[in-house]
Amino acid sequence: MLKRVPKTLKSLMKKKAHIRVGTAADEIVELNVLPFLHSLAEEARTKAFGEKSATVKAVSKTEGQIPVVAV
Amino acid sequence: MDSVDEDVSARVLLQSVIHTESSRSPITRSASQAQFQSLGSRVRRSIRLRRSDVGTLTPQEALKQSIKKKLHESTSRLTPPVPPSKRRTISEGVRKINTPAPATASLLYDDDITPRYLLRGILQTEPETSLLVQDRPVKKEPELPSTNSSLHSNRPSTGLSDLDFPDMTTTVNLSNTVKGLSRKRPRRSLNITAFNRQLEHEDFFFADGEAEGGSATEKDLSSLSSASPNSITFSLKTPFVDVRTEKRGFQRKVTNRKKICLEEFDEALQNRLAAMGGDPEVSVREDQQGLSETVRSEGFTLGQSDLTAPDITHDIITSNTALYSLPVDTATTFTITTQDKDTITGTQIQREMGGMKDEDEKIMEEVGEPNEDKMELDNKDGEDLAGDVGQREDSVRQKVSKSQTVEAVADSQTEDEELAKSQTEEDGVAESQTEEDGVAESQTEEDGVAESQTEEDGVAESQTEEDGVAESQTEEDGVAESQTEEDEVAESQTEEDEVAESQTEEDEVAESQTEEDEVAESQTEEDEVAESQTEEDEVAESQTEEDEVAESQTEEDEVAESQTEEDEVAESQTAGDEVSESQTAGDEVSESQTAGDEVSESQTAGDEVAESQTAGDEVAESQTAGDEVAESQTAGDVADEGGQVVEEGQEKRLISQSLTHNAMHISRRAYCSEGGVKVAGVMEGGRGYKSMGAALHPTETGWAGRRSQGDTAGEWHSGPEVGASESNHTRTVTLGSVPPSPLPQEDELEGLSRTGTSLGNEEMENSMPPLEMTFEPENNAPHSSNSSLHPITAQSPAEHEGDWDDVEEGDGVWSEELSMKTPAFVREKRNALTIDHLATPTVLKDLQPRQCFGCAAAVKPKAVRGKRTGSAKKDPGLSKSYIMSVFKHFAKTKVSTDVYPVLKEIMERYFDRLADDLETFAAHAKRKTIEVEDVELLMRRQGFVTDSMPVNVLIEKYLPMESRKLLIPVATSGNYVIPKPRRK
Repeated sequence: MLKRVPKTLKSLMKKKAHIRVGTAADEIVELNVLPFLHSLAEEARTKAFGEKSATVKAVSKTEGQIPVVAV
Repeated sequence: MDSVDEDVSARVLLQSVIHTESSRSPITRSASQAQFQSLGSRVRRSIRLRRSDVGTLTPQEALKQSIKKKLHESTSRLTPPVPPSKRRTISEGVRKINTPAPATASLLYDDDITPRYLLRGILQTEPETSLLVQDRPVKKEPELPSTNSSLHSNRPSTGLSDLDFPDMTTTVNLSNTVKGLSRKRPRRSLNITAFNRQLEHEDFFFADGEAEGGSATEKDLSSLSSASPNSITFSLKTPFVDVRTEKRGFQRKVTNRKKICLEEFDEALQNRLAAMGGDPEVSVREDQQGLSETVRSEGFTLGQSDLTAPDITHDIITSNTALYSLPVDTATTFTITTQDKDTITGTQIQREMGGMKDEDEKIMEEVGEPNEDKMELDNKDGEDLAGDVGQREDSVRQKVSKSQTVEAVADSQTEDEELAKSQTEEDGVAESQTEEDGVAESQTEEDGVAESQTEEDGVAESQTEEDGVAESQTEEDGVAESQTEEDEVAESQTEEDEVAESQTEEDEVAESQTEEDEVAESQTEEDEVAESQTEEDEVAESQTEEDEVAESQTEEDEVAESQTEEDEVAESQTAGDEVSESQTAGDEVSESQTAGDEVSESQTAGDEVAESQTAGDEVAESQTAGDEVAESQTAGDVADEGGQVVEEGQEKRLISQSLTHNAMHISRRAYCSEGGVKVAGVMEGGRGYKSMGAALHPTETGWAGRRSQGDTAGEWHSGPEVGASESNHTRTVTLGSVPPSPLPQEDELEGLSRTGTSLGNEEMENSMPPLEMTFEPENNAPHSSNSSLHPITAQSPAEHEGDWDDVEEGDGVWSEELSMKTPAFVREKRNALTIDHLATPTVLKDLQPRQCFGCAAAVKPKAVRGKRTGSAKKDPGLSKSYIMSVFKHFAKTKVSTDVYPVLKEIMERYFDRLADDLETFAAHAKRKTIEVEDVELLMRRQGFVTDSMPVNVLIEKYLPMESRKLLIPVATSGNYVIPKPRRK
């Protein structure tokens, strides 16, 4: 069973202080997070298996940083 | 004769049947008939009847009758010889029953002759025939076979003959008993050539007589000799022997296995036979048993005989068939043996195979295991290779978790990295980021070391923290240096940038420190740092999100704005004053604490570390703001501290040191936030020679960063040790007025060099004298002091800081830039520090425990605050446990722990964009509230929601029932819809 999203989610889904979060909006944001993580995990697993590894591993620092920098 | 009359016509028969309904069953009739008539009379009668009947019957019937008569005759003939053997006696009883049956059958046949009757008779007499078979062997013994064979040969043509043949075979079998069953099988295997040879042998045997056959058989088959009583069996056996050889060839065709098997089985059989034959009675018994057994087998034999019989009957006499059957028996034995051998071999082979398999399996398993191990190793290697840092972090995390909160450290590290990244990103210097990352990694490593140390020491936490902080700071400083250098080159220029950088560095340091501290739980320091962090966090959250500079600024703003001001002037002094006060207070507090209590000392050391951090921050700030100011500030700080320390009375030394140290500290500030800060403070204090009191403020101002740090530290201190900090502040004030404060600064510096103090003066550090001693050398030659400190690995953290400071000072990097440049020194120092750190643990261990005692009380509350504040900062994103658990759940496979930093970053960016989008959507709808429909629209834009995948399906797929109730309207009784549908 999945854990429930921590309540910090409400503060994560907005940047501006004057913006409020509506009723159940955080619930559905959780619904957005889960498919996102799901797709991410699927991709990661696919790539891990593509590399003939059963473990999802982080890309090496150097590799990982480049896109970060690029971004 | 009544029977004859009855037989005459079907009517009569029917009438008789009706009259004798009870006797309808052939057996009963036969029994009754047997009672009425003797066997011989029966036969005769049957013959007579048959003869008489023949005339009346149709030619077909006549033929059938003739056949039947023959059968009856054979039966009758067979019966008489039976008596001789015990078997016969037993069989006789059976025979009596059996014989009548055939007689009845014959009668019936004679009467009706119709195929139905024949079939009925056969069916009815089948079991009996088996009995007859038993009888027949007896016949064979007398060697009727020749005659019988002729008779049988005639018989086989008829269906009844089948019964006869099997009987013959069975009779033969009786001697061999069990073999009979097997015989049939061998026949199949036998080839025509074999049959011919067997026939020839049989002929010889028949011609030669039983004696020869018996002798031959005996010669050939010692074991079979037991069965010798029956000449036929002997003869049969002998041919079997030949057959064996011959069969071997055949068998060869079949398989080589059989040969071996045959011998073995033969031996086994022979043994059995020998045992049996050794006692003819036994053999008889066996035969008898065999009879019973054969009876069962006979059914089989009959069928088989049918198969073989026709050929035999055509070509060969029944005896021949018997012979064949016998060879078949041998063959069967062979086959059996072969089969057994096969089985054995098979079993053996299987066993071997099994063994092989087992071995193979074992090997495979072993191989598999090594493979797995290899895989694991590979994975590990891959992981290691992929992210030594990650592992280190992990290990560090684990260690931390063990000792303390791992997450905090990891988070701190990650945060540091992230911060560094963000900073770098913000700065736009990817290189610096990479460097930072590298530094962060090294930091993490160092942190890990520090953590390990802390773990090991468990007490030295504060020291280790300091060390780790110092290291991290140093690393960060190094990075910061590179950055700062770049920044400087690029213009750390903008004070904000510089400040930001320095702040970021500081923040990083502070964060790392705070985190480390938190992790290490030099709580006080952590608390302070955390507080500072919290402040920073507060600022930083907005700032970090917005700008690091902003954060640093905000922090600075709080404290540090003064820094910028400081840069401009010691103006920061005001803020710096506040900050410096707080700092000084923190320092004082630390000092006072140190002075007050060893524990407080340790705390102070922690405080000092925090202070040093703050000082580092201050230094960075001061650097950014201006070395001069910083110097002045430092001097002031030093003065303040010195003032505080003044009590201790090391101010002068401190001042001199502080002056030298100020630059050093500045450089060090980046390096060792804690030690650096303190040192910086000391340095400043040293610089602060100018005017202790004024210096205090200026230092504070100059150290606005420091102050901020100090403030933060002070706040931290104040938080955990508010009273102390306050007292410290007060003290600082007083101290600030008092020149000696430098000494406390020095103490702080030494606190950096706590190692030095730790050398044995840790407690004393707080107390001026030892500090003075340590300081004095520093004053004389800060490097020497540093060197002295360095030798003192125990002091390593402080020493390192001090060393760095000294080195920096030695470098003469008075300017912040210089301090920025100093990073090289710092780096060098770092190396030394790293070494020292390695050595330090032992000392730290010793020292830390004391500190911990003091720290524990004061620190814990701080830690809580720090954690709170830290949590505020640290939890910009979702918790690690949640992200990892969800990711692992969806990945459905092993997930390396080093994935988390990446995931965290991804999630940060994800939420960053998410928040932007949602706010944009809400703004577009002219709302100030983010509603569900905004998110739904976003999900539609993201592709998670499509026409084929409505939101409700996703909700039901991913969200638990509680959320479902909130999101999916459901109509309840009373036409209430929960939740209320949106207005549209």
